[in-house]
Amino acid sequence: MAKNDEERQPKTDMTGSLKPARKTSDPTVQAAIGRKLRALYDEVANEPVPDRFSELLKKLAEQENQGR
Amino acid sequence: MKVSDAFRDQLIAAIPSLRAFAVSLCGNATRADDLVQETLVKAWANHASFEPGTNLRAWLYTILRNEFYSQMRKKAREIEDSDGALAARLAVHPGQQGHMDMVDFRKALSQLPDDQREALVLVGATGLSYEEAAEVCGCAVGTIKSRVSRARSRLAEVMQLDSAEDFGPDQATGTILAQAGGNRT
Repeated sequence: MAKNDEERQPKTDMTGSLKPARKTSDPTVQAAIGRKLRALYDEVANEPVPDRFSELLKKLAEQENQGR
Repeated sequence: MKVSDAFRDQLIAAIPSLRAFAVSLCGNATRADDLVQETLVKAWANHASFEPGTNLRAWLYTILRNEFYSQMRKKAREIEDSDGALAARLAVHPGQQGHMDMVDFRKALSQLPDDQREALVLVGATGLSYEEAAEVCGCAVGTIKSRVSRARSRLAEVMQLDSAEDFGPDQATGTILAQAGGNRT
């Protein structure tokens, strides 16, 4: 099926970027894009925060207390 | 004026999403954390200019984004390294090996123009409104909408041009492909 698709529509590749066809606004595809986008984002956002940042904020607070 | 505890707590709470946004901008985990560090230092120093009641994350994204582009400009003057930056963006995180569809998606995302990618990430992943995203990027709401729409079209195109094997054995996506195939003819 994949092969057939490729053979059938070599022109879509060339004109697609100029004039997106109706399919690109398919809500199912758009939902899949949204999911993947959030998955990539959440992958980093769910990582534990490195210690350097709590240390940094502590240092900034200390500097402030010392009147800089 | 001293930084309030509440402000500091909000900064801490925003760090995970700042890191995620930074990675989406520069595509490099180490560099992303340096950007976050710069952002926190600047946010601390300029905390008085934050308007309470507005979205702190949006304010922080703005600082981070400005920092990123000013570094890019500096870097562009020093060395012509756009290829290197792109290569870094294409790097695959270890956890995602074996997920071909995510690898392809990441690649397609990295190949979007910078302005389209950041608009898409802001609206589609960080949960900012179009209005807030427009403020972060310093442009009109309509501009953000059109960038997001172009980015979505481009990604949809890439995803549908990819063969079924890239989507993996997922029935839902199989159906999409079948529908897409039907639409084409």
